[in-house]
Amino acid sequence: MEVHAHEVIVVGGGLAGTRALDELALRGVDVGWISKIYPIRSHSGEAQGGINAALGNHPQGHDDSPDRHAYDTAKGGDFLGDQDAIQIMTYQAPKTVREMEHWGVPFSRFPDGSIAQRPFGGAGFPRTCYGADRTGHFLLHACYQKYLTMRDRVHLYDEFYAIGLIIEDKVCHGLIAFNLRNGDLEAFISHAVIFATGGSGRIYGRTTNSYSSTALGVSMPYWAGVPIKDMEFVQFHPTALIGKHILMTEGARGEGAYLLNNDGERFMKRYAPNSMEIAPRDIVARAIETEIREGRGINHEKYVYLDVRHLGKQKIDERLPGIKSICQDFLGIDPVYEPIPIRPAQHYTMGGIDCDATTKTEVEGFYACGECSCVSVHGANRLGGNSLLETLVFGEIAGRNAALAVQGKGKPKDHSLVREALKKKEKELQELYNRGGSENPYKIRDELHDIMDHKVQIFRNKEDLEEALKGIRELEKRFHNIRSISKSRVYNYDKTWTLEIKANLDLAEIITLGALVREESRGGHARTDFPKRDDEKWLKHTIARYTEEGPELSYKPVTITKWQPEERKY
Amino acid sequence: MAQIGENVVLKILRYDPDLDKEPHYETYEVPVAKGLTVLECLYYILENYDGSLAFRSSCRAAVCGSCGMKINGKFGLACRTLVENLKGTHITVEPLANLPLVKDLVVDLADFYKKYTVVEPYLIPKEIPEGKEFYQSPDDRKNLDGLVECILCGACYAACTMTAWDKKFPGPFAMLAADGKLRDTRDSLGDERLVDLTDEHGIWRCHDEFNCMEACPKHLSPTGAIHHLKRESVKYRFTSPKRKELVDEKPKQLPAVIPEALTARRSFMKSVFWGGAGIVGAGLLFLFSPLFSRQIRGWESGWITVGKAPDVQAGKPFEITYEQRKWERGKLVSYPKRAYLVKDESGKLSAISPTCTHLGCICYWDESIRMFLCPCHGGAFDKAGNVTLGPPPAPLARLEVKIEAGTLYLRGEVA
Ligand SMILES: Cc1cc2nc3c(=O)[nH]c(=O)nc-3n(C[C@H](O)[C@H](O)[C@H](O)COP(=O)(O)OP(=O)(O)OC[C@H]3O[C@@H](n4cnc5c(N)ncnc54)[C@H](O)[C@@H]3O)c2cc1C
Ligand code: SF4
Ligand code: FES
Ligand code: FES
Repeated sequence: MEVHAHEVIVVGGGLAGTRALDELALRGVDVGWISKIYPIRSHSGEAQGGINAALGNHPQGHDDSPDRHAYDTAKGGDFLGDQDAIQIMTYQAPKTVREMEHWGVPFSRFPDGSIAQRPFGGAGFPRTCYGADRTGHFLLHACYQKYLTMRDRVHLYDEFYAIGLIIEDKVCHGLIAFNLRNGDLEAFISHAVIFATGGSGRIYGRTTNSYSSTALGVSMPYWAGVPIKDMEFVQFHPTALIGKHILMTEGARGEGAYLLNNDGERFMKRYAPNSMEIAPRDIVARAIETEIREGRGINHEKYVYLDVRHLGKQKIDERLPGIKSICQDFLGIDPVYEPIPIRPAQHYTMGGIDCDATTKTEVEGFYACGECSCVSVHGANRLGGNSLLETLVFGEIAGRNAALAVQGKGKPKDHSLVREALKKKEKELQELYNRGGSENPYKIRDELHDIMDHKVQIFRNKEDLEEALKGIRELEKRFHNIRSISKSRVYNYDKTWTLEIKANLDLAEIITLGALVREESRGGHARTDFPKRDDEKWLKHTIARYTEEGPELSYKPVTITKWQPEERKY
Repeated sequence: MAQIGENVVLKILRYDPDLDKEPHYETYEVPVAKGLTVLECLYYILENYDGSLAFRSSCRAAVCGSCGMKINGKFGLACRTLVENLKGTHITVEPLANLPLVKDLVVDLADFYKKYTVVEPYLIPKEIPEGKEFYQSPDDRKNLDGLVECILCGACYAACTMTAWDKKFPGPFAMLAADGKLRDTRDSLGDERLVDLTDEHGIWRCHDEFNCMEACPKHLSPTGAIHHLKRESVKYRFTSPKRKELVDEKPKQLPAVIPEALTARRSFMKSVFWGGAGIVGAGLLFLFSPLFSRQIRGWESGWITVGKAPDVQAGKPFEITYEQRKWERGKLVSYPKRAYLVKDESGKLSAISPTCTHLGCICYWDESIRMFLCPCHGGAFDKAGNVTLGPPPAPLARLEVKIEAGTLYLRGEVA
């Protein structure tokens, strides 16, 4: 029974987690850094389009400002975002992006040598800073490289799955992790734990997210009593390559790509006559789905075209090389000569662990940042390019706050509590892995995907959601009867996947329940039976808490500072 | 090619350290659907046949670098390999080479990551501009294209023969990263980045097999980067005074004796360089002249007594050491030397000098592939000393052998 002690534990090797390290190491804090996959494999590396900051480098962006950025973010999120937090983020943005540049990110450049920016959906000015269409990759690698310089203070535990938090009387004492290398459970004690475990996209089947973007990082605190916020707000990205649902960045439309239906019509003119293709994602995704539903999909199938041909080979090679090679690798088409078949797919988890702009949660010593958290800056719909920004800004804040909180506390001491938790977890897993039933857990997962893709999707209604909820609870029951899991000790992914599926089921229930109860349409949550936004009743955050009987919902007010809710027109 | 609706057969290397003494292969059938990837096949097997199958993955979009493995003999990404693009209905899947096998398709990447660290792949700017970014012209940024897209998948590392032969060779991807920083106008380290890359385990070992380029799923050219580094190092200075140790590995054999010829050449190189850059070209020619490494003057001739004749097995080179003496400034000085005794099928004994005929590094016998390998630029020789691979222009030199009253004597070619 191995017990590790570090002043602060950071869980997550994506941008949010990696960014937190610097703040901690800088202050001499001894950090344990846990990631279920090696940090550079994290989902953040998949981000393509860019990161928002009102730098004003673009010729049309000289009048841009952090306040304009904040307004666009609040409006894009259909006014569900907390405006105090949004302002913190947008005011930090220029510093954050420049800092990344100083860390080595090879941003694309304007002729004057400044960081290049492109237009993105829902933004009043072109403010999305990019490195070709590999922005996430460049950012993640730069942050990881930064970590290499602080290895003396940061101890990396890669291929460790955090599986349970140790929380007592609303104080967090550490966590339990599963060591993939030898199958052991190991305890980590600390004064503070920062969660940066990313999104939960794999609850859905049709998602742009990595295999590693699962619900476990949010379910775990939920099981331990930490409240979860706004889970019903799920973003569907308008343009995912058909088949594998790999993302075709919004940057393509930012560079001028068209969306075409079967009649060759740029149909966005009927949905967002001013912004056309670069309206916010929720609006574009609904437009595409409507075209498909009304039979105007290409060849009446379930996709439309994203057309970049008119941009020309040179521009495509320079600004969208990743998109081009994905199309070539996975569909065998060259977007220089052929339009790209796309359809919306799940893309981003707006909801997450309930915290505020300090990244603190209800539990002392437990912090959350990045996509797993819900600060909330994105409200009901995230703007493209704001998520990378969020991970870095709040990753930094989490690191700093945790560092300040643990100062002078010294090395955390071993608790009997920890050993008890470890024993309990061991027993729990023993039971989970040896149910000896007849159900294949992966079949259950496939059925969950089916439910979520069809009933808790872009357009929602009461009937679908009720059926979905029933279906999910059914699956939860069937999950009690899963077959026994492989006994292999070393690198047993059967065990970790089984746990992830359990976590996905629980979070799916919260999403669906929240969506069913919220009788309005706002941002990513579109109810065909309640097509209007209802500020009087629903301008509030959904909070879900774990109980034995299932999630318990309550609500929390939204912080409005400068911008009163108005109608979203684009 | 496996058709949609049919099954494809995957032959997978399986190894569980708890159960198996040796890796073995197992086969599985997976139904083919449109666009099916090898990674999806692996998931199909894990989910339906055997939950213990171990492989890494994350993005499924060829950007995270998790799923590097060997597919039908070629290194690449499982998620990027479509079954419909492979010939035949059988697919062989094996783990990355040159890295210790842990389980099934999972290898231990610790050394790989360590080697990345050693080239200091992070930006080291002189000073950070206050409140603004570094300005970098689009052309200067363009110089970084092809150097910064590496996803650390390890395909090049597994495909590289140099990594196989020299445990201290950082590997193609690390060189690519180093070049990426060297060429970045924001970095301040400049030539210093070359110092650690130019010793005998560094860039000069690469002899352009292009294996890395062929394997790279991102179509990058580590070879090109190494070329650039070589050009830059010649401009800079040839040898390296310091180098961080990469792998904590005890030298198996004798501490490598740097042949007189090589040391002489190195100091000559320096004087050529410091004497004026104009002669560098001439120095290079000189450097690659095979004749040079073989010129030996002033050695004592005649039979050298080695000692008691060892029992040599046929076909298995046997390493011996002996003292070679040389007159230096009127004094007789001893140098430790190495040779390999080789007995052929007919029982005839001969001795081979392990001094590489390319640039004089000391080769060693690798029993696993039954070749003499040169640690410097990929030269390889068979048990008779004939060149099988790489740049060496001539076979390894032979020495005369005689055994009298149980004592072994050597004479002839020295180095
Ligand atoms: C295809 C795609 C493109 C995108 N493009 C953009 C873009 O252009 N601009 C933008 O702003 N946003 C973009 N986004 C969104 C953005 O990439 C993500 O929101 C962001 O990267 C999330 O970062 P993170 O650090 O929170 O989490 P991640 O990068 O997902 O990292 C999560 C980390 O947590 C670890 N982890 C998770 N669970 C556990 C556990 N139980 N135990 C241990 N470790 C665990 C994982 O190993 C991983 O290291 C994109 C998203 C997708 C899907
Ligand atoms: S250079 Fe290419 S093959 Fe080598 S690690 Fe990088 S991406 Fe992989
Ligand atoms: S799974 Fe990411 S590269 Fe293959
Ligand atoms: S010295 Fe170059 S291959 Fe041996």
